[in-house]
Parts: sequence; C-alpha cells; structure tokens
Amino acid sequence: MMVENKKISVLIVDDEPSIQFFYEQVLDLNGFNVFGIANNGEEAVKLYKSEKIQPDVILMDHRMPIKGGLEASKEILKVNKNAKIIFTTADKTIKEDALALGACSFMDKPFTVEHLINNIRKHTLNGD
Amino acid sequence: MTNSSREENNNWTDEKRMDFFKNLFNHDMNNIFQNILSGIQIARELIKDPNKIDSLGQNFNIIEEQILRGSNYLSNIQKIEQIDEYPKKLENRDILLILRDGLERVNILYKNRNLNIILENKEDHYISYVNDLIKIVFENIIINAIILNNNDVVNLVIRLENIIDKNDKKVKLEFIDKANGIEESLQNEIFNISIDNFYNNNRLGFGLSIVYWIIKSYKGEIYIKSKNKDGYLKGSNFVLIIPSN
Repeated sequence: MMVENKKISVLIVDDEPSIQFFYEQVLDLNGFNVFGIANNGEEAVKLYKSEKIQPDVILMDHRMPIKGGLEASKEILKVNKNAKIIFTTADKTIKEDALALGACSFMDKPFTVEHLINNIRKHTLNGD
Repeated sequence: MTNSSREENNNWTDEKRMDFFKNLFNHDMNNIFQNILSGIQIARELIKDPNKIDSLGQNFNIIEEQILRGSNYLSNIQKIEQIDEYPKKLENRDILLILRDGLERVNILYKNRNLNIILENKEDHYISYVNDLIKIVFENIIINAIILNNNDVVNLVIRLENIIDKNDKKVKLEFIDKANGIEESLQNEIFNISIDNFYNNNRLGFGLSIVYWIIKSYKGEIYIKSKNKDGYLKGSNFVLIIPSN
C-alpha cells in the first residue's frame, strides 16, 4: 500500500465522516497533504474558489446533501478546466456523465486503498 | 400534478419507487463496504507501526458501526417489501413508548460510542396516528445522527411536544444534534423535494429517504429547523410533525 510520492495536496469531498476519516488516514500514511475537507458539493466549490492555491487532486463523491458531485465538478471545472477530479462514488449510473464533463477518473465504491493511491499518483505525478 | 398521478406516486406498490429504494440501498451498501474495506486495509498498515497502534481503535469502532448500519438497512429493505400492508394498520399509538424502545435498541447496538441522548417530554403521552414503520423512522434518524457525528461524545436531544395546528392535534418531535453543520440558507433544501422529483433527488441517502416516505404516508411534515442566524448551523435539528387521528 505504501507508495512514494511528492507532497500532493488532495481535497476530500464526501458527506460521510467515516469515509473522510479513512481518506485522511490513508493520505497521511502515504505522505499526501490533505488540502481540505468538504461535506458536500457546495462547500467544495466555495473552498475551491476561495483559495489562491488549488489542490492537485479532488476526490469527489456524488450523492451528497445540498449539492451533488456532478454539479460541483461543473462549477469547479469552469474555474479551472484543468482541475483533476477523481470521482469516488457508489453511484455507478453517473460514470459517463462524470467523464464527459471532464473528470479525469471514476472509481466505483468499494475500491482498494492501493487503487486509490495509484490513481491519485497517475493523475498528478505522471499526468494523464 | 393531477390527483390520479399523485395517487399513483403515493401508491406503495409503485414499481418505480421500489427500484429507487433498491438502487439507493445498493448505493449505501457499497458505501458501507467501502468503509469496512478501507478500515481493514489501513489497519494492516497501522499495526506495523507501534506509534500508530493506538489509532486502530477508531478504525475498529467505525467498522463495527458500519456493519450495524448495514444490518439496519437490511431490516429496512425487508419491511419496505411488505409496505403495502402498512397503510391499513394505522392507529393511534403513544409514540413516546415507541421512541423509548427505539432508544434502548440503539443504546445496545452502539454501546461502544459515548452516547448522550436526552429525551425531553413535559407530558406522559404523545398520541399519533401511525403504524409499526414509525420505529424505522426513529431508529434511522437516531442512527444517522450517530454515524454522521465524529465527535467523541454524540450529543442528541429529542424533544416532544403536543401541539394544535389548524384545529388538529399533532405531535412535534425535534432531533437536535451537534454534528456537521449545514449552511443556514441551504438547510431546508434537503427535504424540500416534491413527490414529482423525488426519484431524481441526489441529496438523501437510503435511511432518510425511507423516513421521508413514511412521514409523508402519515400526512406528516419533515424539515430542518434553523437553530441560529449566524451563518452555519452547528448540527442538525430534524423536525417531524405527525398528526393524531
């Protein structure tokens, strides 16, 4: 599970505290920096727009209160069309929509920790 | 919306509604599996480092909670499959007794969490026109409050009140917690979902979707009440209003 990487910053967008907790743990264990945590799409967009330095990667859930992942991603990609958004969701039905609007990857829950780390690395250190 | 389409949408045998709940069930179960899988895989790494072994306890607690959450969902989905029978079984019942039973069950299930659940009732009886599904409503709201709360102590106040609304007797219940905040301007949008677009909503998970449907079947109300006017609401205040017959 442990893989080498630079201090890549990751924004976590998920409404479940337990999933937030595990993402934080695994990012910390693998030397990543947690850029921030948003409980829903609305918070994610606000956080993204308010910071001068952007996260390298966004882990984006879809089914969340207030604003879902697709809508939030559209707004973030309007601000920065090169934003790296990895969908991490159990909503398989939105896969095509997510990739079509510009997400760099789509991960169906449940996925392994190793798969998550490798995917973050793939879309940051090595590009697409 | 016409009366006939409203009746169709409120018909508990509606195939579309069952598909919706089954898809949502699959979605939430996959979230549960994600929690369990991550918890175990991370624990394997933590156990290798003596300095990090102490943090394993939290992983185990979450894994245990997620299994209980899944078990509760399985119980819910079985009851939904029999839901056609329930509207016929509406009767006046004392929901304080049902709530106390639910709390007892939740306290046993979540004995590893530090729960501080306070029941505030000024009267001895709160009569509402309900059926057995009201147990699911209470348990889902309380379990949701526990699972979405990552504080060391889960503080939850449940306040009951007998009220008169437009000459009708009703019971008002408030579930007040101090978990994740919701921005005040957006808090009512969570349950502001019409029957028409309910199947397209992406806001509610399985547990609260079931709560929404059951309360609507009682011709009751469900919403989130503002607790302060200073930007973010600290925690949620779920309000249920259930008619008496």
